Parts: sequence; C-alpha cells; structure tokens
Amino acid sequence: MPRLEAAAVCMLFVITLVAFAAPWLAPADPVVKIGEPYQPPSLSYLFGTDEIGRDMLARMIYGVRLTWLPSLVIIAAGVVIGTIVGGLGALAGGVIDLLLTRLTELFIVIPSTMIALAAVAAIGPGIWHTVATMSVFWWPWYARIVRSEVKVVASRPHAEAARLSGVSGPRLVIRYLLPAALPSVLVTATLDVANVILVLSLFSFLGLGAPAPTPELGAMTARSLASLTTHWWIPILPAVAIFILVVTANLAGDGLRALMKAV
Amino acid sequence: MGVGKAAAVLVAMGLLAQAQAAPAEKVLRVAYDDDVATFDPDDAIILFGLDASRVLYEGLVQYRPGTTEIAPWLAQSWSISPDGLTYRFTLRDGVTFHDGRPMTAADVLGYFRRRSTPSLPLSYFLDGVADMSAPDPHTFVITLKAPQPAFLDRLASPWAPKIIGPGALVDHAGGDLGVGWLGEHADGTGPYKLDEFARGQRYVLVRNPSYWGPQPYFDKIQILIVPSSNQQMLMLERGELDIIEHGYPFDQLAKLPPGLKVDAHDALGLEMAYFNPTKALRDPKVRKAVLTAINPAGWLNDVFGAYATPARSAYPKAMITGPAPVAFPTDLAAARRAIAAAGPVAIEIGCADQEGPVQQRIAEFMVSQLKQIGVTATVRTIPIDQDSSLVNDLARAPDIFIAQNYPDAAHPATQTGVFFETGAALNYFGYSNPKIDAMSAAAGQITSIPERNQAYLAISDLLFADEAFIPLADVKDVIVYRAGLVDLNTRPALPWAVDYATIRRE
Repeated sequence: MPRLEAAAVCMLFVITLVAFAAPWLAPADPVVKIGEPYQPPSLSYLFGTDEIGRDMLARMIYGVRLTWLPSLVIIAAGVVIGTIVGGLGALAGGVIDLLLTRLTELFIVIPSTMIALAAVAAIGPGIWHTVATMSVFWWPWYARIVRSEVKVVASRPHAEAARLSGVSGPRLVIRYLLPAALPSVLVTATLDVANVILVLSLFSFLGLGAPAPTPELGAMTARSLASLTTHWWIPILPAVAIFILVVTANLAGDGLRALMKAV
Repeated sequence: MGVGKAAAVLVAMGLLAQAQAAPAEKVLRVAYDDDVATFDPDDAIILFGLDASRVLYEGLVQYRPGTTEIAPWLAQSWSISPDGLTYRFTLRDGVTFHDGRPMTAADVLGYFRRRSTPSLPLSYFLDGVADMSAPDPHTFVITLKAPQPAFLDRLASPWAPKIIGPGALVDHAGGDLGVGWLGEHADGTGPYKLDEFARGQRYVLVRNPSYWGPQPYFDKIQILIVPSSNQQMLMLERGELDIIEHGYPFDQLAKLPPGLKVDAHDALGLEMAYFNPTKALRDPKVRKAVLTAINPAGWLNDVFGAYATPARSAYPKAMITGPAPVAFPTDLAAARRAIAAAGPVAIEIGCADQEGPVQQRIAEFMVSQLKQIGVTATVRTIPIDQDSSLVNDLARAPDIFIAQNYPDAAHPATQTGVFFETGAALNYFGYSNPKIDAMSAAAGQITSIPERNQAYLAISDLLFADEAFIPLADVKDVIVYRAGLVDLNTRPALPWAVDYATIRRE
C-alpha cells in the first residue's frame, strides 16, 4: 500500500478513536460558555471560541464524533441491507432475483438524497432520524455488488465442490459465497464514507441534523457563515475538519483497494 | 458632407446635449431579507414591506416621526364624541388615487367596509365598530360599540386600515374583494406608485407626480429581495445598496466600514420568553431555577451590545417605561439544588425565525447557562407561520419560546390583547388568568395616560409573578445606511422602516 494511503488508514483509526473518546479528550463542555465570544485561536483557546464563547476545539472534537460515528452506522446499515438483498437475489434466482434487482434499480434511480431530505423534514430534524432515513436509501449499490460477486463466485469450482459435498443453504452462503464479495464491499464502503460524510454535513448544514447547539461540523459551518469575514475560524475550522475527514476516507479507500489488488 | 449627414450629426449632438442636461435619476436602493407577501394593507400582517406599503397607501392618522403621538394623515382633523363612541374625521382636500380619481368620503367608507369583511385577516382592527358613514364628501364617521381609548392607535398602526381606491376595489374586485389583483398591484393615495412587481426578486416604486403632499426626494425606490445578510452587507459596502433596514448583525455594528452610519432608535420590539407550563416547567421550583439561569444579565451585552437594555416590564419601554428592570432570581446554587432535587431536567427552547440569528444566539446562551445548573436544553427554530399554532399541541410545543414580538400599535391594550389575554392570537401557550383579563378590560378604558400606564404595569407584575411571560430585553431597531442620507424619520411603532416619503440625500 502506498505510504500516503497507509497514513490515511492509520488516520482513520485515530479519527475513530477520537470519536469514541471525545468526552475524555475535549478540553471543555462543547455547549457551555467558557470565555468571551469570538476569541481568536491562541494558547488559551487553541481553536478560539465561537459566537457564544464556547471552546471551538471541544466542539470540533465532538463534531468529529457526531459526523464520523453516524457515517459508520449508515455505511454498516447499507452493507447489511445490501448484502441481504443482493445475496438473496443471487441465490434465489428467478422471479425473486428479478424483483429484488428491479427494487434495487428503483432505489438507484430515485433522487435518494432529496427524498431523504424531505423525509427528515417531515418527521422532524434529528441526528438519528437522519441516520435512519439515509440508511433506507444507502444499500442499493452494495446489493448490486454482492449480487454480482455472489453470482460469479457461485459458478466457481470451489463453490461447486462445496455444493457437491453437500453444503447448501445459509452455510454455503456464509462460508463460501459472501466472503468472496467482502473485499469489493469493503473497498466500496471505505470510499463511500466520504460521500456519507458530505451528505450528513448537507443535512446538518440545512438544519436537519441534531438540534442546536449540538456540535455537528456541517451545522457549525452553516450557522456561523455570517462570521466568515470577521471571525474566520468559526465557520472555517469545521469546514476544514469535514475536508480532512473526506480526503482521509477517500485515500484510505484507495489504499484498501490497492491492498486487495495486491492480495 | 451631404445635407443628410450634417442633419444627422446635428440631431445626434442635440440628443447628446439633452442627455447631458437631464438630471441623473435619484434612486434609493434597499433590500429585504424576505419576500413581501402582499402590499394589500388588509390581507396580511407583513414586516418586510411595511415601509413600501405606507408610501403606496395612507391611513386616516399616523404616528409622528420619532414618537408615539397621533398625527393627521388623510384625515386632517378629527373629533371624538364625549361618550367616546363616535369618531368624526375631516378628510384632506385634493387627494387623488394613483389612477387619478379624487378621493371622497364615499371611497373611504367603501374601503372600510371591505376592511371589516371577516374573511380578511386584518378585519379584527375594526371588531369594535358598530357603524360607519360618510355624511358628506369630506367627512367620515365611525361609531364604536363601546369606548376604545386605543382606537386611534389602532388606526395609526403600521397594519391599520389604509385607503385603497375604487380602481382596485370596484374595477378589479373580482370575486375576492380585489385580493388577487392587489397581490401584484396597488391603488392608493401615497407619494409613490407601484411600478414593477417581480415576486421574489424586485419591486420598484416611482414617484407619484399628483401626490397631495410634498414631493419625495427620490424618483424611485428599488427594493431587492436578498435573503443573505452577508450579501446585503457586501452590497452596502460596494455601494449597490443604500440602506439595510433590518438584520445587520449587532456584533458588527461597532466596526462598520467607512461611509456607513447607524440609526438606532427605541422600538416596540420586546424580547420575551414564553413558558409552556404543561411539561418540564410544570414544577414551580424548576421554573424558578430556569428563570435564574436565563437571566438576560448573562447574555444581553454579548448578543446586542449597546443596542438593548434589560426589559422593565411586559411592555416595551417605548410604550410604557417601567420603574426598574425586571428582577430575575440570581441564586445559581439554589437553582442547581432545585434541579438536582427534581431529577434530570431536559427542555427544548423554541426560537422564532423572524429574527433568526439573534434568537438562535440568545437560545444558545440560555442553553449554556442552563447546563450550568444541570438542565440539558436543545434549540428548535419555529417558523413564523407556525408560532400561533403552538397552543394547539402543547405536548409537542417547546418548553420555552423566545421571540421579539411587535404589538399592533403603541397603546398597551394592543400588547395585552394580542399576547396576554385569554384566547389572544399570540398567547402561544394558552395562558389564562381571569384576573389579568379583568384588569386588562379595566385598563383598556382608562384615558389618563399615567393612570393607564400604572394599570398596565400592575398587569405586567402579575404576568411575571405567574412565570408565564418573561420580559427579557428592550431591543432597539437598527438601520445601517450610507452616509449622506438624512430625514429617515423612523417611528417606534413602525418596525424595520424608514420613511421613503421624507428620506433624502444631503
């Protein structure tokens, strides 16, 4: 794996660690005023304070947690649902495969982000509403990949051999077929994290994420745009954090893909 | 050179000279954050567009600039019968509508009849009217069912009846009292006519040459819809706008770019917190603890700087100046103990979106202060068209609603009648206290202003004691404009507006 991509994979682990350890790492409570508003970055406040006087570093650490962990949940939900739908279609074949394939195509062609936005707006903003709604729309590509991989693997000699030796049903799927689809799914998921982060940020930017003053990176940027020319660090730092998350996830995905190819 | 060519050159030179001699058009460029619902004075309570509406249409009376005194407008004088029931208005001579028709008392009567049609949202201004008549072309008479000392204030309100001409009400009445036509046109008596109506983009008013009063300075008022305050600020700096009448961030007023000036004047905008008594704030001890935490002393200066002062009563100080700022409990340790004893307390603060960033900021300061006494709070923005329906579902309504509200007029009866009385239109959480209703009915009949004010201050004390309405801050109306503009003639009762009829360049 190239060095840059390897560093990105390590970075992802660090980010995940920071996300889980936010309550212990953050230097202050992210919703409590700890100083005068609009203090620029300094030794006292490394990332400055925001328009309320809250510590920006604490809010960024919590912001990473509230952006990164929901992204992982959405990806995981997409992988699980996609695997079930794709795997079932590939194995069952016939009408069931046709129906599941058409359903998958339907979910691919509809403007899922717009529908998810409308759904969250209807049921009410909230981070878990966003996660649940996005999970509903995030599985079709995984279903396609799993179906295609399972179909290919099912006709390979080792799967034939397993069948001839009496292995069938769930055991055949779990032991012999799905593992073959795993590398492609994993690479896609890693590359997909960046997309999820951007869509989540869009939701929170539009006020459809967690309620204020929850420190979500997209919402922090959106709410402080008016300060862009006067107190740059308040909208810019969360935006930079989103950028770093997205680039890191992309590079890590590239790294994994390279690794899988090499293997 | 042939004769034809020479003639052409001469004509061109003539045209050039004419163009050079013509004075440059004087245009005032303003921007609104939000679109104008309609300029029809009877069809909606608008905030953006009030300034334009009052130079298209005029009422019988108005507030004198900078004050809450009633002054003549289309009525040059008026008298009130000793029993307080009959108002006789003598109409101004020489007034014409924008289509050139002269205004008569019959037109005024026809318009007032339209205004009192119950299907129009602002018909409630005339709820107490028993009869109206036009005994001669210059006299218009209104008879009330019962005395209303606030009646002239209601007629001077920014949302008061303003006379629409028969060109709209008869010629374009349609089946909807002209509402459809007036949604995109205007036919008033004001110093400007509506020249261009591009919904959501731009409105242009042009000077009315046959106006009965002094001609305004500007030939045109160009109103742009620019939702981003950042963009408005940049446009003002670049000279593409002349005025920002609302929404200039308070925290940037201290370092205005050169060439810009601030007009900050007392207004009727009172920052209030409304408590929903059906959820977490049902417990009086929790209520008192929350009251301690949201004390404006903790955030007022950070949010408004020099442009607000602690509220003195449930009435804006431009209406009644209370004797001292409202006294909030200050014992934070006791508040912490009360919350600890009550168990985990989580509340939701709703904030009005009409002053979006400011309300959001106040709410987030409150969240910070509440966290320090152990209360977890979140913030939800309530769209302006949903705030009046909070009362319909108190279980899903926020625990606290904060808003900067504007009463209909400068008389305290309009504040009490809209917010505090049982069943009032903006009594957000359905507060009802028969004693307040009785006190309000009595205060509404007092004509002596000092006595009246004392009666309303007693109502304010009781409202605060009930912990239902929490006055937070008297907020000034702030207008930022390019240096050189004078005679803005703002009025406390007219939110977010300068007087387009008088403003001029030095």
